[in-house]
Amino acid sequence: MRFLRAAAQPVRAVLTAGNFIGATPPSLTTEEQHLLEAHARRSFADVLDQAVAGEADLLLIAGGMFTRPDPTLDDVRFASQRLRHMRDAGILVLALDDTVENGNDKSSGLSFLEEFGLLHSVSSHGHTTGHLFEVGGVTIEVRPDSEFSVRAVSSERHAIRVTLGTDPRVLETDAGATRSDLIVLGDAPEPARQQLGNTVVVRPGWSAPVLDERQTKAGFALVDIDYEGVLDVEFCEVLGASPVVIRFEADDLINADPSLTIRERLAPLIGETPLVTLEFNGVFPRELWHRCHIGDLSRRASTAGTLVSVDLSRLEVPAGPVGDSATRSFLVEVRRAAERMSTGLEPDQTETLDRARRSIVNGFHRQQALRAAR
Amino acid sequence: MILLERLTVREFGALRRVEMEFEPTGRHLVTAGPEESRLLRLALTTCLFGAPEELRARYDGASIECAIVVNGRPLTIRRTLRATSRDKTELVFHQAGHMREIHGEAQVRESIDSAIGLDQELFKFLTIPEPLCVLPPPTQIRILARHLLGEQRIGDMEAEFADQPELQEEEAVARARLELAQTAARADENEAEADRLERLLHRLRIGQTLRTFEAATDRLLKARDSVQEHCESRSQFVGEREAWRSRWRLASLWTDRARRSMEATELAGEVKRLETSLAEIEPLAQQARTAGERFGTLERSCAAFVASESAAASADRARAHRDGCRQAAGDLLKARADLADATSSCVKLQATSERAKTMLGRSQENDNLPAAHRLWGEVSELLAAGETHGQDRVDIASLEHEITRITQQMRVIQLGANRRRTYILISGTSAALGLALTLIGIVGSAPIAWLGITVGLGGAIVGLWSAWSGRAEQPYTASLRDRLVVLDGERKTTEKLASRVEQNGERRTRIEQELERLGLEVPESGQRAQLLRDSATARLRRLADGDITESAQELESEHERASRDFIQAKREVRRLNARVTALEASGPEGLATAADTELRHQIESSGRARSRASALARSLGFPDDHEAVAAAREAQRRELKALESRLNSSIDLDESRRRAQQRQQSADDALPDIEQQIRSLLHANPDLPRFEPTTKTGQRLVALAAIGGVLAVVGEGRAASQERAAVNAERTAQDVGTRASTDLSSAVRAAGVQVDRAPTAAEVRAIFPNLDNDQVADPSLSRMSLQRARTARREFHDRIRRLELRAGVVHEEVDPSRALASLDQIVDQRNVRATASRMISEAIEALTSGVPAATEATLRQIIGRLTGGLHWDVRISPDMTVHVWDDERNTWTPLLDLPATESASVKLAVSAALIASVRPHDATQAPAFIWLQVVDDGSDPSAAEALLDAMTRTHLQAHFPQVIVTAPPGKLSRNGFSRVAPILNGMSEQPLDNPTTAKWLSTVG
Repeated sequence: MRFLRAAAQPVRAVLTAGNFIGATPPSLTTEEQHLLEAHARRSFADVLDQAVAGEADLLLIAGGMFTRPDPTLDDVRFASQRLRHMRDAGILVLALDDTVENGNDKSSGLSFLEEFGLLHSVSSHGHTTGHLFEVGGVTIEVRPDSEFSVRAVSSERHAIRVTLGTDPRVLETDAGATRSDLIVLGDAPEPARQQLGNTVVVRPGWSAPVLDERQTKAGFALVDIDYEGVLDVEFCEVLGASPVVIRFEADDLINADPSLTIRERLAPLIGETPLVTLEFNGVFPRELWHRCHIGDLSRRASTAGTLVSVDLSRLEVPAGPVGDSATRSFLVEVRRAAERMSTGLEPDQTETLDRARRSIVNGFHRQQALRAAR
Repeated sequence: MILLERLTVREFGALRRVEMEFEPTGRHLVTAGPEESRLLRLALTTCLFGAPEELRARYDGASIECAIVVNGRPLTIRRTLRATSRDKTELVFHQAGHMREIHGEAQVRESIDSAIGLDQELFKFLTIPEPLCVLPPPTQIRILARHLLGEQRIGDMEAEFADQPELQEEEAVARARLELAQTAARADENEAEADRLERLLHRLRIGQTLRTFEAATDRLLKARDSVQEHCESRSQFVGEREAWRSRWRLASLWTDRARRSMEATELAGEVKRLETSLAEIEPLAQQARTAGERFGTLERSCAAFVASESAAASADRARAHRDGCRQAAGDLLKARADLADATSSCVKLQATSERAKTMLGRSQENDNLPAAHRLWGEVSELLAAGETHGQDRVDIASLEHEITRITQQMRVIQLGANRRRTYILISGTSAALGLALTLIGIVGSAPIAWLGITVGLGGAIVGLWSAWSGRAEQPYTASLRDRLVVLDGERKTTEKLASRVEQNGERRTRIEQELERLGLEVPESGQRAQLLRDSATARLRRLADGDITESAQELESEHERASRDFIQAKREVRRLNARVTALEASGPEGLATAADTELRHQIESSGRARSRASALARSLGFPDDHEAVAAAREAQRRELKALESRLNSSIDLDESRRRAQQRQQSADDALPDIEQQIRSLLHANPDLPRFEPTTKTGQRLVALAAIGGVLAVVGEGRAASQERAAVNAERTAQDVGTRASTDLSSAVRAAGVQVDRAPTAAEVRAIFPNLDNDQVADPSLSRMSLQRARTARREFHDRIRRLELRAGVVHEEVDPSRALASLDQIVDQRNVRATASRMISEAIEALTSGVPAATEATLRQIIGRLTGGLHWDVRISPDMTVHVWDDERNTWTPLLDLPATESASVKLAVSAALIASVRPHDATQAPAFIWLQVVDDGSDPSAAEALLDAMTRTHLQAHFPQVIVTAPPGKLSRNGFSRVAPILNGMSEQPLDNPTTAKWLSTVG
């Protein structure tokens, strides 16, 4: 994609990715899926509203606008209504179509939005035919000359080359790394800016809410471009799309009604904050964990319009009647066995234990070396 | 770490040509039918581990190639299955920077075993898991852990630390030497003690025997005097016994005679009394007959009363039945009216339901419009491309025919050219020959010159003609060659087009299947497809611009509601129909008429029975009352029974009279015989008393005589027994003396002194002085000690002999201290080995025992996501059954009891968690990929997707960086997969990358 500017005024572009309209992760309940879907839509709408408010000339969507090749009618209706405002505001929308299905050139969602004249979609697989656009005195040409990129040009002499992509391998290609002035990558939820020689790489982040343990903030990027190249990159946060994290320690809950405590801390956020992450740390006796009633809390919050995700990566529940969940390693277990057997033994017997353990460790490593040699 | 890199399958059952490549990390979806999915997994295991004969025969000629990476080292296995001979198997791998190949089944198998370290079953268990709701037993988990650590490695270590026979033998010899030395020392001590005890016991025995001999001699003299005294006493008692027996006999006879006389008198009186009683009973028979007739009349009267009352009760029932029938007739009329109303309502509800269905269908079609838009567009493009290809396509058969024809022509021309070259060669030769003959003719003989000229000219003419004709055919040959090039080009183009057409056909089939799945129209022509696409575009535009208030969910719920109402109305109509039919079948009007007739009949029957009962009661003078008649009947029955009882007693009286007469006769007959016996006895014993006593005195006399006789017998018996005792005592004393003498002689000889057979006491005391001074508290203890010492001596002897044989040395040469030091050293080595062996066992046991808890911890992190937030905890019970915590019911629920749709993904998760937990950190060659199978069993695919989603969020992702899923087409959304490999009709297609959505789904949610 290359820009040619006739006037001296810079072009302002909003870079976004990971809008994920219609996202319904299967691990969520139906109600939670509806909530997340609504949050994703709100975030996308917020990006578009801020683009209008910031008087942007161009909206570049670097992949992930829809989560499905065949979006639902509601998703299409939502997108078309929102993009119609962009068209009325004179903002050109270019979207990278990275969702392929059965070898199609384009996903159907972007295909008929393009047919409505609401955006211009370009394929990441290079099947797009060339296009010419006029935006605010800037001519943009879309050319399919790279598997991962799309280009807009305005003249042969003064042009800013822009590449959109979702795969970081685009940085390694000749077209991406050496010929582009700006590479917009929509591969990660975190925003980032990087300078590779004369090329500026911008990761605008994802505008949709992310519920993983990284707790990344949702957002987009605002970029001003002129003859000289990229003038300024500003990262903006989508308000309300980032989860609020509440941490619970086992010691805080063990002497109280855990369900009530969690509910009390959650209550001010219910209905006010769209996304909440409950993080549980420490050793929870099984009874205490059952009394937390996480499922009930999650359902109540979903009903009130707040999506609750639960982070159990730091939770530990003591083992049941069968064994313990200690770290399992053969040599560690050999050492533990030696420690158990050494209880109450005389020094000479302890020496026997040490000799036996050394023999096992040596034998284990020797056998491993022999095996590797074979 | 073992990763799957590539799998290529050819002609393996339904798999005709499949090529799949796998990324080192990420999720791969293989869309295929159930049979193709099964064959893919079978192909993988067959390639790695070979196939049994049956499988080879079934898939004869199939070839499979599998590339795996074991700890960064690539291995490629190629296997071609043969039914009749062994498979052709190759293994390719890197070694020292070069590619090496191994051929042959056994060599390849050995290399794979060494690389993978798992057998086929365990490999399948770890990589292609089946759903589990009960964990395998600890024994199986232990086997898994051992294999993951390296069965050969652990086996070698265990063998190294196990008891070895030569070391055992060495320890046994050392132990035997030590034992030999210790046993020899104990045997010496035992020998000395045995000698001391033996001497002491000899003296004790002689002293004891000597005292016994002296006492026996004294007792023999006393016993002889006692025998004489008791013999005289017994003779006196015999005389007394005979006298008392005669007295008792006489007294008995006197008493018997008196008793029989009295008995005869009493029996005569009894006979008279019985005859009087019989005479009194005879008039009672007439009274009994009269009472019987009266009782019969009363019986009939009572029966008539009962029949009358029964008929009255039947009449009441008939009246109630008649009322019920009239009520049923009313119900029938009401049910007919209800049926008419329900039928009308049902028709209306059917119309409503059909309308809701139509609306829902339209709504669903609207929902699928984006997909329809894309699919119809693709069909349109495909059909347009098909038409273009059809126009461009030339019949390949005609092309082949033309090429063959031209090739044949060119071959004919080539043959002609060859023939011409032969002619030219012959012509040249002829010309040369002609020239030579001409020259010879010119020089020597003129006729030969003419022959040479003729031959030379002929050859030159033929050669020139052949060369000219060959040149004339060259343009034609060139044109044929050009034509052949053109035709070959056309054939290649046609083949490419055919391939493209075939691909388009497959793509069209897939699109049509998707359209059918969505319930959309499958267009037959390109025009129709274009029309449908334009229509979809227009509808989409309208729908996107419009404000649709009714969502598909609302319409669906409305349709469900209408359908439910319609079904309920139909059910009500069926119910009313059945009710009307049932009511009509019973015929309530006819039943009411029959009930009226029955009522009248029962009333008449009751009246007749009542009249008959009254007449019978009045004939006997009783009132017309059932209770009074019944009471009279009962009284009459009791009277009749008393009379019959008295009549029956007359038979017993007659029998008693006859028996009394017989006994009287018997008493009278016995008296003369008794008198005769008394006279005989008095004559034989004149000393007996002559006067006859009274009855009372006679009985006392009999008793006195009997007592006297008994006392005499007792005295005789006692005297005889004392005599026998005295004789026995004499004999015993004599035996004891003899035995004591013999024992004394034996004891003295046993002590080593030679004496006569019967030594005297004085001689013995002279030989062994001070015998009475040897005193031992309990000699039996000394004897037992001696016996034990002797037994121990024998045992020590045997044991020393055995130990000498075992140790290989005589006991005099063994040094106890050196034997002990040698044994300690050997035992220390054994302890180290035994401890190491135990440590290995305990370590593996600890690895095994921790698996359920680790599985539980892993499952706990994902169970909430898998069950849609229903369950948040999981437990493995001691019997390895998996339970989930039901938060609502506050109880544990076995996984087995959950509904199949809810538990399917959890069971698969149990397998994955178990595989991850069973793998120790030391397992460096464990499989790092997992191959999951999603079947089309009607369950919700979102559960399987949730499992895959949850697996990326826990440490399972680290265990299974490479996840492969086979599922039926359309079962799973492709969004979550980084690579999708469709298999259609046994052939794989180009895999599709899908990076962004996969990344999205692995991060969000």
